[in-house]
Amino acid sequence: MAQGIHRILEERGIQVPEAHQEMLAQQMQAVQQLRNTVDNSQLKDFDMALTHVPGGERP
Amino acid sequence: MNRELAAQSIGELAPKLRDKQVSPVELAQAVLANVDAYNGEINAFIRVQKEQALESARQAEQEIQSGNYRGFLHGIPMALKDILYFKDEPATMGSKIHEGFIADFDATVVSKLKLSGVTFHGKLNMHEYAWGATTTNPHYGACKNPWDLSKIPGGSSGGSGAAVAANMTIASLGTDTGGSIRIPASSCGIIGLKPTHGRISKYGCFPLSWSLDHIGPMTKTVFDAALLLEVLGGYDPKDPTSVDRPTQNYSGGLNEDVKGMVIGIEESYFFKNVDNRVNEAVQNALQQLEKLGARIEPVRIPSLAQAEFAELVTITTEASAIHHDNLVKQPEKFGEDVRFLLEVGELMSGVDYVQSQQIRRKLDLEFAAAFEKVDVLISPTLPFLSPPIGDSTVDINGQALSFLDEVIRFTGPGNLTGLPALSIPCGVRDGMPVGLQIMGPAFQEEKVLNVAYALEKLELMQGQKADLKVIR
Repeated sequence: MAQGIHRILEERGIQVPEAHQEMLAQQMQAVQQLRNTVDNSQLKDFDMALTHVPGGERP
Repeated sequence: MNRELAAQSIGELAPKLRDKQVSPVELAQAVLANVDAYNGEINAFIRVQKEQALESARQAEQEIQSGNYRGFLHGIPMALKDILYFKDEPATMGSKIHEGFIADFDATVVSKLKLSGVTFHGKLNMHEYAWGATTTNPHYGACKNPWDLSKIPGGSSGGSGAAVAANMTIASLGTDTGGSIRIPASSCGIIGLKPTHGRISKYGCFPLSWSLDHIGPMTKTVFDAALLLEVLGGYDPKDPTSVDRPTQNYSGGLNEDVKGMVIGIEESYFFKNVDNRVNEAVQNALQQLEKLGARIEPVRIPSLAQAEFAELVTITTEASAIHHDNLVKQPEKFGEDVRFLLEVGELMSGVDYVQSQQIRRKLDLEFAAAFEKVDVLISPTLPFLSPPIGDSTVDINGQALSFLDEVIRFTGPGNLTGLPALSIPCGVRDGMPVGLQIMGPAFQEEKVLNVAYALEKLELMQGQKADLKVIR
């Protein structure tokens, strides 16, 4: 995973310090765990607006 | 010189300045004397502007003497986070990259404070580019917590929290993208108010994450926070996220009566995995509010389970978009922690970002439904007490957990939804202050302020403040 992350960032022109490679892999594993909390079927009806309006449209 | 003056609030000082019992020059000197005495240790300032402050104070004195008193803020010394633009003055954003940057216009909040007659005496330390919550700044030095110099003051507005707590400024402003006003307010034992998104203009504030950023007051009292909100709030066409909703006389309308008020608690999210010392202080505050006649009502906001994902993805992605060019061209000029987080943001997918915005819509609706049943929601501001400077973990009931994972767990939902949220100290445990968070419905800051006012009147801190005598 660490090498894959390194390659993606390098392709975007970003130099990644060696010390960050393993840390980034761990962080992205944590992101994956959070991603697993998202149930996309529950989100389908929510239109994603480009501007965020607090207290806006009600059901 | 009477340095005690610097320990007073705006609400205490303003009538004395108006009635010429205290001179703005005397007050500025008292605040600057505290900066001389404490800043060497605390390091809350990136730049102290002594001459400018005294000159401005002399002008305020002249105006007041000649009968041109401008109002509550006239002659009040303030220092602001070094992320807000002052025309023709440097703004570093706590970074090396912007070290030589000179702003060519005033931020809207700065313009409003200048018009109100505030005297400015410096720019405050912060987490680099506001992208972190420790204020352990690699370029300007670590800012220390006045309650315990070995601990962090929180961040990113750590200099603002520390300066207010150590009486090195009468009040300040912070910015808040995941909790950066409320976290240092909680850590330093002061009031921090993040208003509704769009209530205070962000024009002239360097962004961290456009859709999550807020500006708000950091003060010694609830009255001062209310006062600053009414001065700073209001529509600004220069800020595309500014909302044209009427502001109120928040300070004049403060009401400590909570009888009949319904206070919501979301136990499955906001009270899960909280350090016992913090939980005890917050539960005590809730009991006190019940004794005053408020009713505690459990609520459920199911999508909070996805809030951490949405906050992490939104903040990292937007911040990395803002800093992308510098991450490519001069990455070595970022501090290690900020560089790492910017790399993380480059790895999020477009789908992650869109889903995060969908989660925000869902959260908006669920919070709005909860506020049909309750007036405000109360929670701890942070699940832990301030950790030592340099630690990457926090202690929650004997477990060492990641600071990064824990720090915005309770404050982040306020940024995702844009709802108003305030942190108020509710006790001291093991020598450190505990913050309690009050969230309210959109554009109803008065509800949040009134509950905070009731808590302030309960004197849960029992007069305890940072012990400045131990600081040389």
